[in-house]
Amino acid sequence: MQVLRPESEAEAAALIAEAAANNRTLSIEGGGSKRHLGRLTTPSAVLKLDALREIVSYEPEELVITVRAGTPLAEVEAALAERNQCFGFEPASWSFEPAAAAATIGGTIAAGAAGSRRVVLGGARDHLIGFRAVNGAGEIFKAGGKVVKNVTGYDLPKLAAGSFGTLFTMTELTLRTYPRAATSLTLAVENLDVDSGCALMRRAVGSRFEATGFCYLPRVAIERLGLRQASSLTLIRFEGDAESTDARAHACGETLAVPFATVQHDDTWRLVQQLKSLQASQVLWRLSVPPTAAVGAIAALRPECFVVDWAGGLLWVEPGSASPRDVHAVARQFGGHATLFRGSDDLRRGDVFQPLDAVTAALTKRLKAAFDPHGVLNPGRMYDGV
Amino acid sequence: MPEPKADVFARRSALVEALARLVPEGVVADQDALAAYDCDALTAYRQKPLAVVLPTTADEVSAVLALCHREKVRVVPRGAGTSLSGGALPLSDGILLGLSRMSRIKEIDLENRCAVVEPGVTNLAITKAVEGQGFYYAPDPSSQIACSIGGNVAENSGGIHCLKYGLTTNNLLGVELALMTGERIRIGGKAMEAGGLDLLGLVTGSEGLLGVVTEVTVRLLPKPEVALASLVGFPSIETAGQCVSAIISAGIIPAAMEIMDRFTIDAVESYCAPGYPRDAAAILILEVDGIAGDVSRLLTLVEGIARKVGATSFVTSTDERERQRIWLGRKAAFAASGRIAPDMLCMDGTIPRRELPRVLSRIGEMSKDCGLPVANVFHAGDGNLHPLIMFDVMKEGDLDKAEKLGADILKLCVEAGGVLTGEHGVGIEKRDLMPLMFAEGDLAQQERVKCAFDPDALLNPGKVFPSLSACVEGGAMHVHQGRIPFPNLPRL
Amino acid sequence: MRTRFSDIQLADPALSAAEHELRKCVHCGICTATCPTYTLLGDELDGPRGRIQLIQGMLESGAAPSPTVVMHVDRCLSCLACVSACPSGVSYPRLIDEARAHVERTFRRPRYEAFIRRALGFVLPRRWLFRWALTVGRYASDIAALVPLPLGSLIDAAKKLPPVQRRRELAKRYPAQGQRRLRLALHAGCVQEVIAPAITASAVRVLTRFGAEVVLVEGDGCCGALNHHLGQTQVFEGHALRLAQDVAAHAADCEAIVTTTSGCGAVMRDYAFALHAEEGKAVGERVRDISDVLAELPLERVDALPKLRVGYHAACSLAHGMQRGVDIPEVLTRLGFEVVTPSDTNCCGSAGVYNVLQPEIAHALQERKGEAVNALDADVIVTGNIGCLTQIGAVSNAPVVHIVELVDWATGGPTPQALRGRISA
Repeated sequence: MQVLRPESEAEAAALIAEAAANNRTLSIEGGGSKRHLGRLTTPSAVLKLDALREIVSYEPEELVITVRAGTPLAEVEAALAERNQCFGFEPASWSFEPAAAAATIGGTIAAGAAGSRRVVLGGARDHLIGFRAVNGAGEIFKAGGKVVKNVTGYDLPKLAAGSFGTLFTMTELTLRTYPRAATSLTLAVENLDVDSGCALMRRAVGSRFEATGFCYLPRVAIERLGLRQASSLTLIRFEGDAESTDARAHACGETLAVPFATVQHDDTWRLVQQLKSLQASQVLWRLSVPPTAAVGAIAALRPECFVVDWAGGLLWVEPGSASPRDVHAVARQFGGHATLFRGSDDLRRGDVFQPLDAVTAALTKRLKAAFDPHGVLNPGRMYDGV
Repeated sequence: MPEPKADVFARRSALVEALARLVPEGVVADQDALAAYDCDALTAYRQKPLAVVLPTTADEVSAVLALCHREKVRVVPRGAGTSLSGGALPLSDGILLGLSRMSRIKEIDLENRCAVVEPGVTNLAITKAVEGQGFYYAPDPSSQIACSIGGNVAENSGGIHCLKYGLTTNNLLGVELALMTGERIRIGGKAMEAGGLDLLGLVTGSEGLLGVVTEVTVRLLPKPEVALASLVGFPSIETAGQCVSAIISAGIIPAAMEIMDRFTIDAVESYCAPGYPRDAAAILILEVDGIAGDVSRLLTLVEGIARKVGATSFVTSTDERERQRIWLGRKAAFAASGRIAPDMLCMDGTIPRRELPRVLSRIGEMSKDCGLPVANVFHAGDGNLHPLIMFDVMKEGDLDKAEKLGADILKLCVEAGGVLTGEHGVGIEKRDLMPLMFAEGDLAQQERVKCAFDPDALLNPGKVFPSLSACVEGGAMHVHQGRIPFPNLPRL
Repeated sequence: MRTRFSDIQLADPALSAAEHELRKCVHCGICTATCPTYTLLGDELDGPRGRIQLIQGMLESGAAPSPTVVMHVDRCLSCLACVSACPSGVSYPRLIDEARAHVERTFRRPRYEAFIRRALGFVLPRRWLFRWALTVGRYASDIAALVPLPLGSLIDAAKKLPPVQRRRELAKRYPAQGQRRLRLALHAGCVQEVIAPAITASAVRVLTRFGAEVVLVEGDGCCGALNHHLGQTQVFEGHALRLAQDVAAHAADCEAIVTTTSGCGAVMRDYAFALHAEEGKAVGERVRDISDVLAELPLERVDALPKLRVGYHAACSLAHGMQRGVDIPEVLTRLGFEVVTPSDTNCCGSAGVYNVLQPEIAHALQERKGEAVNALDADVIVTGNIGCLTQIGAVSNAPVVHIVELVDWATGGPTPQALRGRISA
């Protein structure tokens, strides 16, 4: 397939305008690490933005960074780490080996790929504060700003995060940064069944100890990671300076009144963000549900393997025999939504994202048309006609 | 504002009757009574609405919207009427849709850390309902005792604790939204993320132009073990600003950092005597929260930084009552200015923190030049300025002078790399300044979003966007002087 | 805010004072959330900010207001919670009082309503007449359901009151026990003297017990508050002037004029403005609520006092009208009581004759207050205003007594009537 590689924003705009004029469709791509995400599409060409690679400005004291969309995520994170900062939403690679290394900042935000810290510090949507983009007519526009507190005009950055490139192609992003914690200390509780594990995490997230991660791994997941012997792991993470994390982790453990161990810089968190225990899953679903619904949803899906994150708010599920229709029905029944994260081409021709009600679906189509009237950008990636 | 529709005036009595059938006991049509609805907390602009309707249920809201949609009547939604940007300024030919009667707390679900409430519930009422169980709702605009959560969603309201806990948009899980057609959609719920496009993020802060919120699910947070507020005195407002930058640069994010100048300190002291240092030219109110050990260590660090920058005093609250008293003064600051001057305009620009000292001293010069005093009280941690321009509306030319100064201050903010509004919204107040920040194409793109939701431009038209646009299929088209270019040509 | 009064209008001191307050309002809306009728009805017109705009329009035009405007002005309780809340320092009484007077002057009420208002203003301040009316009312209670509101609700209210007490003659001067520390004038009031004379008796006992010589202010006793709230300006001024003259004649040597009804105190405090006379100023500056005085007395509790859980309802007239009363919980705690306060700090709906004129709203507020008070699970509820006493008494599970009655009992006086048989020592 033809790959278009604009060297500048203006060039990207020209390419999109040309595609619009010629009724061609484009697949928008950064490093190509998330091709497995979304519905299967048949674009006329790929618009690859990895040449738009630059840190435009970085002001650590303002807690703000501006980067071009195709800059590798790893490069941006390294720049932040140099100044003792990081992204609060803990970008997850959401990729499968070996493509993961290619993830760009634009793709990460467009996919809304937030990690375990999202439960406390918010998702990609909460950290994108401004952007420049090209709409489906090839027009360049900007939205948001370069300061965190801003309500001037519609909050299009929110809409950008998680839109999978279906509305416009971001060329430059301004993100908030966060002071990097000196230490991470994990409180680990072993051998809880999923019900008790989730209940424990809910208590912890509702407590005053400001933990920044709450995940649960069942035996299968632990075995796949080759970690210690346990029938399950419930992990609660504390970040900050050593004195603070130590005090909070122990106070939290005592409040929860369960036998626990503490682990300094537990590598499991990285493995969770990288979906390490699910790399082999041929079918993988991601469910966002109310925390109290986690156990019910898992029971209803009877998965081969699963991982619980966000204190029960996020489920990674490798389902047994459940069909997409079943998974979406379960998600709806429990008050959340499900996204097919990995699946066969056949599955990806059906509903990948949670089906919308008629009114919302019509509104979504009108919104698509407001940005991309000719349906040039990633058409059908999220929904048919979007 | 958009040209009033003459035919709507002609149909007024029939409309009022129809509304009264939909919402019995909930229509205000008496001309004298309508005067009380002619503005929100921005009093510089006033306009009586055609009628006010006060529904008590979401179905009534839908019914009113459907009627207005059918009849092509404009609608302006209104919460508690505390907007400082005129977001709820009525239209002469429009219905004012007041949500104040929808004030029930529907559900409190602490296991899922959320509360489901109707739009008319006040911001503070949510916290009041859950504080006994050790939770609270984080965004806390100064008007939190009175402002409604529906209005908070529409304006994406901030507050003094945004620095650490974010604005409204960062603390919502879901809404039920009535579209202009009267159809209602649910966006999100109790789950952390909603499926599909992030409509929740788009609708939050859309200033009542996209839909009417009929239910809100907010995220609740556990109350910190300890929260202490410190009063730090500085010899000048600029040094106070430097201190804020120094604290952030040290990698510390306090729960709140607020600066008040001498002027405001005096006004507030005469209202509620919170005990602010009388000798300081400016004070920084700084709040640190968390577990006890962390809080005391952070305070020591922060005090060190403050002293180094030149703080003249540093006093920390010793109990919750003292902390509350310190904040009471800060939250009353806008309105307490009424004790100093009969009228005020409250600006709301945000700038990069490093620009604080320069912009503040420039504002001081501008104030001197035009002869209107400007008080400064602002969210320093976010760089969110609130210059309060004092004037006397009864003095010839004062209002014009104040508005001009306000516009100049906002221009200064944008030039410094900032934005027009940090939390109050564009509304009517800053509408015509939008081109300072956005090019025509940027605005056109935003207006096409409006068209996707409300193609007939019936919902709160005339706010936010400086030009009037007509929607054509798939987008918006600018209308100059009320005329579509080439009106004889068929449109798409 | 901008105002549009003519110079001629501003020559009127009442209008000029109102204009001064209107100018201060910045329309922020903070007051609305604290207004009982706004929180109940959810209409800007039933909150202070909306009322202020209605009042402004009415006063500026000088003409008779529309029935809608009058309805919303009438719905104001004058609880003055908005005054406590207002950061701009708007003195709302200057506006609502002038508005009521204006309505009374210019607006023709329906006959029945006008009659009721006049009757209330005439009967209640006269102890003998009120006593007589109550007795009749009690017999008439059987027909209450047949009489249209609000007279029906008045009769209904009469039925719930304790039996009418015979007027006792009160001595003029009560010497202090032990060494005299101060001399106080005690204002007995009108309505309270009829339906709860025990309160004055308790006040006399407590004050004299702890070293005060008490001078009882004679005369009608009426401060004019009821007429004031009905907009009957001239009648109010007549009552006020008579009371001020009584004070001048009999209590010139007293350090303070003490009231046991904060509803009266709040109005008397403002006599200087209302009367434009030296007598008015002399009263206004010296009037104090009994609870304020209690806080300064060297109270000593008796030994055999049960540990009671006391629910304190802050009367609006005390908390907002007089901006006093914050010490009361501490006074009671010092006497060994456990003090709790209801979550609902709104007006209970009594508000003078409001419960008679606006029975529906008053009832809703009463219910709400009742729920909050009963949730306290207190042994006894105390408050400092006769209106609240009767209003809350009707819905409270626990007995309701005046603060001074409880303090009297705790420091050696008799057990308050309402507690007899319900509390064991």
